[in-house]
Amino acid sequence: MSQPFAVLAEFEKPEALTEAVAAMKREGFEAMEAYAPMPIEGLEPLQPLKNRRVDLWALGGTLFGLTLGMAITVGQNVFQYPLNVGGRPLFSWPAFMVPSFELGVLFGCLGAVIGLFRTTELPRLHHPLFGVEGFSRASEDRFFLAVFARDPQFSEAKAALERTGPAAMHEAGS
Amino acid sequence: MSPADTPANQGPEAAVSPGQPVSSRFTISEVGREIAGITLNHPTRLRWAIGFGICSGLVVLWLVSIVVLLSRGVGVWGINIPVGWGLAITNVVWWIGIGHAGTLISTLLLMTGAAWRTSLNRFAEAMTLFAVICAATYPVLHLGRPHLLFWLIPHPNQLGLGPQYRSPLEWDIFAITSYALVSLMFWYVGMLPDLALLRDRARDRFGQVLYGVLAMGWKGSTTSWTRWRRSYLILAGFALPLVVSVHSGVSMLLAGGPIPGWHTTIFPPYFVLGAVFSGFAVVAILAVLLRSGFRLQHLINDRHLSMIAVMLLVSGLMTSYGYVLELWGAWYSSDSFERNTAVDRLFGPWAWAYWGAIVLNFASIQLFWFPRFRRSPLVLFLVGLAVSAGMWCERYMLVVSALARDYLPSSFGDYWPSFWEWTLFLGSIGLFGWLFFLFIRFLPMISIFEIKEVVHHPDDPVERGEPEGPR
Repeated sequence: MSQPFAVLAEFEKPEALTEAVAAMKREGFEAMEAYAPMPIEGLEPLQPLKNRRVDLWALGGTLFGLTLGMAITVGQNVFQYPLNVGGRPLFSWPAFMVPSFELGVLFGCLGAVIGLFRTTELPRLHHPLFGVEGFSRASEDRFFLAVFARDPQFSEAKAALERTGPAAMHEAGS
Repeated sequence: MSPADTPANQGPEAAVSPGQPVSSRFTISEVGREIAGITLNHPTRLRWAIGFGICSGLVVLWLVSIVVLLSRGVGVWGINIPVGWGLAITNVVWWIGIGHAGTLISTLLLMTGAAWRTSLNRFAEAMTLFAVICAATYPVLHLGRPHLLFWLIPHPNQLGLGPQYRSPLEWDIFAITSYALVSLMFWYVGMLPDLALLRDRARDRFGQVLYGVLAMGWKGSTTSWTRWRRSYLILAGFALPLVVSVHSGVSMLLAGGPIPGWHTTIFPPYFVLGAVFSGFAVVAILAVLLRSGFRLQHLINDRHLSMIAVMLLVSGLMTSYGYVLELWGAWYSSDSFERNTAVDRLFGPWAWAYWGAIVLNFASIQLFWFPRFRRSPLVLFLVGLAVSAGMWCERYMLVVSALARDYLPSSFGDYWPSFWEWTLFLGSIGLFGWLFFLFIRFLPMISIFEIKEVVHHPDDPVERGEPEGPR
């Protein structure tokens, strides 16, 4: 194994994982990540919730879509090809709201999806953790806590993880 | 396992409390094995192959109908002046309506925190997507010159010509395209964690590569889950008003026309509710079929069936309010043309469609006042079929009867669908089934991780061994 990438502790129950996360946090470890087959409560120490990047992506997308919708409709029906239908005003904005709304929703959703991918570093088909024996059960019924090599206290990580009473220990090489 | 010996069926809803969608005697790895096993091990090969074969035949019929239509023109259909909108428009409204319940199950129930959605949302969303695909083919074919579809899509061109954005027909281009893409995104993002599970469980190379690429490297880290939850909620929040806007947009196509019988303000809510109603009917059909076809009685249990039945009853009664208000509007307007159209619908040549809608939609759902029928898969299945057919009758009645008799007797005219219209309709049902069979073969039809979440939730009274609440 070349450079170490992370050490992992494997747990059988989500409660054991949340307890281990709290214990490791108390010991001052920072570069950690937990892996679970479903969203579980009690992992807040790992996740600063103030971060609103997905929301910002969605908001940006919505505003872009709304503007694009208005620009297309107004641009074409008012400036490029003004069409007088029964003497109605050229800038009849209520009718233009529907295409603008639909495009706002479409790009807002696109923004949310792009935001999800950007903030979770997907797509990434290969990752050092996939080389860990048994890590595939992270999507099934096992719970993993990883301490990454970039943590300043990484040399003590293995011993600290073992104190939390995991079902198994693993190492990942980069 | 027969229906009788699953935990959920021991006594009336024994293991099922109001928020409890599945029996919590499951462990989380059993949930994964059970649902992923259907995809990976393909337990019902023969039945699947028969169903898929039948649907493939219908898809061929669909393709033939399209080739005939395109090579000989829309004259092969029965439409003419004054009835220019026949089966094609009836079907687009019907199909897109079916799609709406899938989105509503997923979004509204996600946002209100109803846990019972978890067994239903995945295949309901798939239903939405496939129904929208079926719907979208009709307006394109109805153009008569489908190669000129791009005229409806805004694009720079040397004539400086743009589409007429004040027209509800043009709104539909935006609405249906956005709806299809948003449904696809919502479905896919919701499926990401399950695709990762399939990637990890797949034993053959094909599965590993297919699901590996689709899962995009999902690992289930805390960061991912937090972000995922947030984006999923945002997508749901966007999809909800989208549903309402799409079908009220469809109703505007009719309400925008100066035709008696199309001109009431009840149309947008009436169409949206009717859409939800027909969609829940198809969800009922699919739920019963999947449940018995794959022996999923413990995942789609009696509680789910009775919730679908309640939704059918509620949305059906709301739709019936639309029927009443249509007649009321015709009478109260004192407009003789409106009244004529109303009388025509009740007793004219299309009375079968009107009374068909009343009997199949309104009368059939009255069964669901009784708990016995709400829990019976057979009754639910039959009522689902009845309501689907009834809603089709309603759309047909609305479209055709109004166009056939407008203001001047000189512009009265009849319409009967031609052979190629019927084959196209039958073929589109086949297309829907074909896509759905592919879906249940290759993708998890029930959300695995959401069931895991419910099974393992620490706040769950069953989990803690406490007595269950009343129904």
